[in-house]
Amino acid sequence: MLFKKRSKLLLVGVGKFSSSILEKIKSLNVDDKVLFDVRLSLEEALINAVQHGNKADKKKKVLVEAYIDNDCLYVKVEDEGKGFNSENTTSSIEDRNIEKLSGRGVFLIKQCMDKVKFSKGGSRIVMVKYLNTHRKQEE
Amino acid sequence: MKITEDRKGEMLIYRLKGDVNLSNSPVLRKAFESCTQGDVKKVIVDFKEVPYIDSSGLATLIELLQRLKKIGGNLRICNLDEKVKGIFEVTRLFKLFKICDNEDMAVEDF
Repeated sequence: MLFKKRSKLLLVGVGKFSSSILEKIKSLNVDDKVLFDVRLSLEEALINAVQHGNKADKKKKVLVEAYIDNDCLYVKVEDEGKGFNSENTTSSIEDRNIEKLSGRGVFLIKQCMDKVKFSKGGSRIVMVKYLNTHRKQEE
Repeated sequence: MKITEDRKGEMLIYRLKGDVNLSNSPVLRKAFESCTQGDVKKVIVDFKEVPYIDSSGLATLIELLQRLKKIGGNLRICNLDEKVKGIFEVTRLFKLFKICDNEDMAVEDF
């Protein structure tokens, strides 16, 4: 296990919370693009968990787990909210939605990570990123 | 985040330094709001020293564009880092924003 923490989290704490996880991932010698993608996905997932899942309730907690298996990074983010229908998200890239101010978080996660799975009615997301650290070491 | 403003007639250039994300969006939004209250019609946002952007940062830029359009103004974005540029590409926001390679090209593009 690379990281495991369940804590009360508000939007102001997302950056600091994310940094503590990313420091662990940085130490794995992953390339900058991978780190960028993981940071963006993690922070978007945390924002969704706090804002939409826990409805910014300061009593509610967010669980984050991260581990490496077979050169893949697994990140799980789980909130205490009622979840949402992950199949029902609007496409933020369609012309009619392009000027919308919200709705890009989940889309960006799906673009930046290699596998994304929602469960527990949408209150849990598991994201997978291929790290390619072996390939980087060979280069 | 550090925001530097450079006014040239009806043109205003914002040079940003730091992440454009949820933490910094309120500061950026406030800076952008003040520009559309004067006679500024052309705005350039220079991303030369921006290594990271999230969905909240993108929304702040869309808000600025919408505000400028309402007053007959326009926006150019320039000097995008490769990874940040990738975010504009996957979200297809390059269709909404005019993106230029550098500040000189952005000025000329108006």
